[in-house]
Amino acid sequence: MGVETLYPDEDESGSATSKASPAIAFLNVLLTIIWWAGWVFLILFVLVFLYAGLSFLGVESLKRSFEVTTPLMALVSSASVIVVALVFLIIVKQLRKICQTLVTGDPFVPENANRLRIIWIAVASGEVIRLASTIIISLVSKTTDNAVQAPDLRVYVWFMVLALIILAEVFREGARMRQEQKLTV
Amino acid sequence: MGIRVNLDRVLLDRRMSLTELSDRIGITLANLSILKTGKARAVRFSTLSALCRELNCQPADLLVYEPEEDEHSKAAQ
Repeated sequence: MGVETLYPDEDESGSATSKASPAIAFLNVLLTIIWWAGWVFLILFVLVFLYAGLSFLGVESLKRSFEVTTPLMALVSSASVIVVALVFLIIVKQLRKICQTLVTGDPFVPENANRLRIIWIAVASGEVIRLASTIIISLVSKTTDNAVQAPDLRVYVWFMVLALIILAEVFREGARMRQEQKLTV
Repeated sequence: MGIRVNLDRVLLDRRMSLTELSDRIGITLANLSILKTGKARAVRFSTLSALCRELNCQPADLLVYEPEEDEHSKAAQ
């Protein structure tokens, strides 16, 4: 085997040059749309939070618009949704950065392992916040009949967190091997 | 690492530039620089073979083992 065949398309830095495939380009566009949609939802729920906050503080004209729920419940719900939206935006931001490394042609970098770690921490935090808000809402709910609703523990989310932890570590090892391969002449 | 690459000395003896060697063996200049500056973690047999062929030398002319300080102290113990 000739030496030439071992180094087919390597540039000066030693990494393989590649052009973004249509699938990656589509993913990039999709993530950009999701990113801006996330911001729209965040702004929307911040407005709901402010509205509920003002009516909770005693603005009578706003208080009348709450029939099914109470201002306090709306306040807690919108606050938890804002936190979840922030978590969602953090995840999308990390996914966009990972996708960007796919475009440049070298996704096995240590930064991507750190990004996956941020994602699993965000997913776990989001789930904990959702559980906490469910408990708080059931406590302050005006429709409750003294029975506190049992929190809905979603096992599949925790399995997803576990999968993300494993994936992050696989990426870290992959990045280490890639670095070693880069330094193999 | 205890392995030193003597590529610059061999190149000097053969009066050959790194660019010329790069052209002859088909390895990028960047990769040869990694090898020459001792930053390489590993060398493929195919690379070593091509280097020896073009520089008309033996692997021992290119690679020298030098024990590190802690290895010296371990051996003394």
